[in-house]
Amino acid sequence: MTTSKSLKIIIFDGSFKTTAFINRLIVGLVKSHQVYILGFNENLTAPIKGVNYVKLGSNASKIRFIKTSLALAFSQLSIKLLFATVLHVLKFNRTQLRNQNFKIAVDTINPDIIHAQWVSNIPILEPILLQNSYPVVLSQRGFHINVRPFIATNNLNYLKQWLPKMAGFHSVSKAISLKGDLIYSHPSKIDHVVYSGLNVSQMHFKEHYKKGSKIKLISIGRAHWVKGYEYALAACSILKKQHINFSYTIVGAGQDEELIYLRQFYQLEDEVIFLNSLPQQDVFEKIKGADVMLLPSIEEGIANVAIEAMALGTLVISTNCGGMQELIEHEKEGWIVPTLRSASLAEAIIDFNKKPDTVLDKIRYDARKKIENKFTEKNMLQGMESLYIECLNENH
Amino acid sequence: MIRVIQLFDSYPLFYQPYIPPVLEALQNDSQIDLSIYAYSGGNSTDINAIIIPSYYRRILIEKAYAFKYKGLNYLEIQALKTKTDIIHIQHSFLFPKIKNLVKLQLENKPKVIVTLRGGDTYVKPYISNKWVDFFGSNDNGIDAFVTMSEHQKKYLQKWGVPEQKIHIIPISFGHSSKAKPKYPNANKLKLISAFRMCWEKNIDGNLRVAKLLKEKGVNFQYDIYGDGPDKGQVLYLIDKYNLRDCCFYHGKIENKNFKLRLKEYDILLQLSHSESLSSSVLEAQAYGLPCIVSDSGGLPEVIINNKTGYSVEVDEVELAVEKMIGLYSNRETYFAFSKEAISYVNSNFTVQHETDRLTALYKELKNK
Repeated sequence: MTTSKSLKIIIFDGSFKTTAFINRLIVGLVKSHQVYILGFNENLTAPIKGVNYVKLGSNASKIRFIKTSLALAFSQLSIKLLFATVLHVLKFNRTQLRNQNFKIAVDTINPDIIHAQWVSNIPILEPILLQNSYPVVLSQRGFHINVRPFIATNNLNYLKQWLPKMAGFHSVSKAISLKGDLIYSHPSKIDHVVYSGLNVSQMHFKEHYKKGSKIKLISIGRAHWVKGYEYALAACSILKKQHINFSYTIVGAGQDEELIYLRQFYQLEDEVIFLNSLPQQDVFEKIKGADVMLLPSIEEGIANVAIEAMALGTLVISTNCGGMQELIEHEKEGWIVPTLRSASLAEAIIDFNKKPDTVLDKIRYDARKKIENKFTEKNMLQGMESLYIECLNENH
Repeated sequence: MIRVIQLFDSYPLFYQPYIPPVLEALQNDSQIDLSIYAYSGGNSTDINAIIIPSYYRRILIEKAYAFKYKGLNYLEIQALKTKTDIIHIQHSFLFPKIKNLVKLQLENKPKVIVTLRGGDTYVKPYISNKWVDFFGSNDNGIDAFVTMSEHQKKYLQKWGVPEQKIHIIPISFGHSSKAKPKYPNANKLKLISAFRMCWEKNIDGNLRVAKLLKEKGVNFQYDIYGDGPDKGQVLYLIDKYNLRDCCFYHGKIENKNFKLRLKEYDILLQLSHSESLSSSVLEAQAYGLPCIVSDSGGLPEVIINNKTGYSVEVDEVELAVEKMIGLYSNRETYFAFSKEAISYVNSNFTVQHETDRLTALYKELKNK
């Protein structure tokens, strides 16, 4: 622990049902701190023990949203606020109500720090950032930092306006930290690279591995051009032309038009299957059942699925996008190939196929060791607490 | 006189600017009595479209006619009331709108035509069995399918549509082009693409051509027009491939402005993954621009390979660049291509060609 003081922390990503990696952070933080999750939900099937969930109104039901908005306004015992809320309700000004609900909830909690998980959360934080009432830490991850500002000038200008008002930044990789600096940089900017962490003891490593006659490839994640699946399918086409026996499953691609079209275009109907999203435990089983996880992305922060695969003992072939080279040393802990190059992906798969099991085992164990050393829950918590403390110290 | 209803989801259409001139020509044709129905839109063009009433108003109207036209919906009632000969569905996914009508055992019920765009044939059946069932069913009530190209016609048969039901009626670029053949720009190759920014158009493939041109030291400018869900990919790849000094993404453009600008360019590039026919390629040729296209779908049919442009495999970026440089650097060959391009589209893809083909189909069906 870097601090003995228990903090009041709001974790905000807009929803109670945060992603698996944010949940892991919350599970760790709640052991030593008061953690509040604010979300536009009413219910959660599997809440994390010890976490305070604060409803900001349902996104799914207009009536429940209005009820929550009125209840929050009423709780402030202010006639003026109640009157304004009723006016917003009559006009059904959802944005105003959402912002107001958030502000009331935050003021009621009076947190030491607010940790916003996504750049897309900034609009709702604007009043708090303007008043500088609470220090806000922003996570820099994914498309919203490494792609969007660089293809949309209005977004870049928006971020240039609001990022300087953050107390600090959490970057999921060194690479994304550098990208963030292209948007906003200042000598006093607090920016900690804190890698995503796993509870490694719960990630059971595939001890015994033997390559079969068919290479089982897997990718996990939604279909979007930034994920680069079109290059993975083109790589599969190269494998097929070379009569390499393989299967390729993309979990999360569902019924994506492009991928289904390309599968038939490359005549890969017998080799490639697309699955809808699965619960995390099922995803882990799928990863463990595969020989290789393919990460053909064009951009990533650091892909959590790759961290998980390495912890579980499945080899990873990744493009050199984002911070992936911080995770994988080429040919030591996996394979790193250039982005946008299907031939390179295919070459790496072929290279994997040629390597004897003993060499592959060495890579698998080295990959696991990398996760045990650098991508643990403990490291993540220490890194995050240290970031919070530095921001608090600066803020005072 | 043939009474025809053309049915659209919405009208007017931003992404299908080639349709209104054909409708106008049909409305001016004394043999055709054309009505245009659409579920949304307005009358911002010269063509009067009838906007179908909202759901609840339709229900009321259907109830009012329930005695005479039991079980039929608003559109079907209108078709029977007006003694329509042909219902021509322009947005294919609207085919369920006439499902009651096609089941009726009536002697003089309207014949039904469905026009199929590329996605309807090349993509949708892979995504949804509804389309496979529709195409494969003998009693779907469709009298004719219209495809844009020979390739699309053949592909459609793969889904079980009988050959005799499929009629090729390519889209048109407009009225006969008066453009003069041209020579390429002297100092800089000016390259253009215009398409909807979506995966079918192979955004990466088109930009790889630009990347290779730059690597080869060609002095060029590549302008890309169009909007769509993947426009972020265009901007991202321009940056990624270090093409900011020579590639420019301009977003959405009105068709008339696009046509005005075409004459400034030398070559149109379109390396789509999937395409039934490309109006941009037709329009470019009408202004004397040779085109380099992929061999996907009906694209090769829009040009004459080696005479008005070149067709390459979708991933043959090197060959596309080689052909492009060859054409640009040989002024006389370029001029011959330009001349042939104008002549080719004027001989095959004018509004007159399209309306003649449509009218012939309407007549054939009416007399069946």
